[in-house]
Amino acid sequence: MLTEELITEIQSNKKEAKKLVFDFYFGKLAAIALRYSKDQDQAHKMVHHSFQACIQKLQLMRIEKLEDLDTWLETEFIAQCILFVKAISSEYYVSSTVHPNSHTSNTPYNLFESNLIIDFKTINTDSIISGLQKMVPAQRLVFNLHVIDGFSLIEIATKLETSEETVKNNLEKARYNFQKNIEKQLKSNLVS
Amino acid sequence: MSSHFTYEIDENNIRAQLKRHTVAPTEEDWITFNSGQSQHETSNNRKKINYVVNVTLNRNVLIPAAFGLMIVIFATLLFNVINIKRTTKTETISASAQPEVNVKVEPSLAKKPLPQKPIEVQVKVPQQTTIKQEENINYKSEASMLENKIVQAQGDLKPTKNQVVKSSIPADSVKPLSEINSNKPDTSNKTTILTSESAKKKSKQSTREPFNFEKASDLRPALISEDRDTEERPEETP
Repeated sequence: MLTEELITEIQSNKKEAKKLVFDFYFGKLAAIALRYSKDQDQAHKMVHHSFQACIQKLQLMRIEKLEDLDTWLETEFIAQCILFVKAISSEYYVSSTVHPNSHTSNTPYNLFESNLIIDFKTINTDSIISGLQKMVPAQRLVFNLHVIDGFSLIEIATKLETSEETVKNNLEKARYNFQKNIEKQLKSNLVS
Repeated sequence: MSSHFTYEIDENNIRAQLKRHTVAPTEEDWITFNSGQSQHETSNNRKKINYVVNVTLNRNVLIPAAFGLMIVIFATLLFNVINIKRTTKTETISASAQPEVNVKVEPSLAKKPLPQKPIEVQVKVPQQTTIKQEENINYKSEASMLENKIVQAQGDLKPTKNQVVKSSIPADSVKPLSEINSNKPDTSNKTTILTSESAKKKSKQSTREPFNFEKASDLRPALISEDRDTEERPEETP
């Protein structure tokens, strides 16, 4: 089915067209939602919320304005994910920074105790995603937007409604924390 | 961040990995998405309705509406208290139609017949009349006859000023008014103050028998004791 026909059918609120789009784009968009969220549940909510918003926007849009449905849907989905994260203001400022119940082991991790060498070039996707999910929302957003999705710092600043300096600081902290998180995770895996 | 920190992560590799990463869609996901879509649509409709209501019931709308309502209520109150129609009517009549009314009313009054006042004929009947008891005239009947005649004269509606009322009383018995007036009781302001004793005497005198003048001729002057030569009583002269 052509994209134009698909869009016109979505605009006429046809269930089959929606199902087609959902089946085709859900895997990709769910992966994006996973790295923008803090856990699986939040990712699940984020996918549905953001995808519904995208479909509604698509229904109201003119076909002439759409150049590429894939890129438009991806950028729009990321924008909706940002809104979703920012909407959870309590988590955005407090709860992600403080995780009182997150420490499962009683003994804290000591980096200099173990002499294991970690190869950061061979990191699987799950550990990357878990490393991202452990970050603070602001840092996670910046890291995702700049490193993975390829947005410039100014673009991120406008998207997050902050200054460029803040974005830079957050990105620096995000890189450090991301590496630490992965290191910790990998070491714990090796020990276990 | 410590100065010893070295960033070793290959970002390009991570990016490529994550871009390639996909999640397999399940039927549950579609069901939840579909149900969420329908709920979202209804909530959106509600939001639209709420938006419309919010626009209509805005502060900028409500405050002028409330003021307008207050003004209307106040105006109705004033309208009920002050009747404008009455005042305007009175003003127009007094200003414009007054002279016309005067002009029009006069001929109507002229046309109307004047009410005929009944002509009163005054007949002076003396209150106190000296009439001899022997004649035995029924005064009451005579007075009523006179009154009847006056009424008849009024009823004819053609009375004359010089009408003479004839009475059936004989001419000898009627006296002129001058004489009647002379026999009037003394109405002068002379008053005599009577004490209690004098009042009693007067009452006694009034109770006494009337003086008989026929017997009075037989009375003789009383004799004084000195005049009496003898103790014997003088003989009566025939």
